[in-house]
Amino acid sequence: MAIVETQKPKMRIPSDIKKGSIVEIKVKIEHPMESGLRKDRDTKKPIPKHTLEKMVVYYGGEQISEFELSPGLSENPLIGFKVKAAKSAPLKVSMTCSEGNKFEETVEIKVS
Amino acid sequence: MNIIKESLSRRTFLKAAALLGLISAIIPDMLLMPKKLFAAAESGRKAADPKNLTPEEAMHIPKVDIPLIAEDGSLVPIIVSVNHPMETDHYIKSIYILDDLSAIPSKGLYRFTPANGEAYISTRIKLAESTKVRAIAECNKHGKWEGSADIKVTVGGC
Repeated sequence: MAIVETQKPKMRIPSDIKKGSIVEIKVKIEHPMESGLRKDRDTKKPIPKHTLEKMVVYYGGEQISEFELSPGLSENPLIGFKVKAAKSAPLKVSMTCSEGNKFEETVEIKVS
Repeated sequence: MNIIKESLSRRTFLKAAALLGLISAIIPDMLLMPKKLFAAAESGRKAADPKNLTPEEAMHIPKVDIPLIAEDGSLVPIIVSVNHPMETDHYIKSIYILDDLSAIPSKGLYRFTPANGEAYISTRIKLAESTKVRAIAECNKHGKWEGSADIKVTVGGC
């Protein structure tokens, strides 16, 4: 599966966020997460490694989480994590891939 | 006198022989360590009695939420969470997810800060066969703690 190098991860946040509540953010990205250990079934050639390596989460400019991803995750990863909605601020997710691609997306968290 | 001396030396000889036998019995076990012991190099404190957790254990041991049976090993949903307060000076630093039998045991290392509000991660992982999925949570004050869950995988997906 070819991936689009310029794609943005899809992020889902709850619609109504109360100040101080802990909300779950879901991030989805299309990526093969190829380990480099598999062989092509027809040509018997090894499939080169191509995986996401790092995911960093920024909330209001500050880094709040850093995830080290591995090819042990499924194809097209769907990652959910939690954030304490302390303020209205942008939430940015940045992912890096073993081929040097960078995937970034920002959503605005508005607290009420 | 002679007889006593002889019996003593015989006793020490037997002791030495027994010790030698014990050592040679242990060494091959170490050399032929099963794969899962290598994967278990990373580990943490486990619950002494999983049914009666002490307050400290209940606070630190990660809960691994995974289906009992997975039909497709290439896509197994998993949620790991720790019921621990995330205060500025006392929080869960990281969660490491791994399984015992896959070619790639690591399922990611997830680092948190108090701004997360809760040490929680939900994702989807690949599993090759029926195994034990483990999560190791590290508290900034109380070290590493381990929780696990067993899963049956009908079709492997690695």
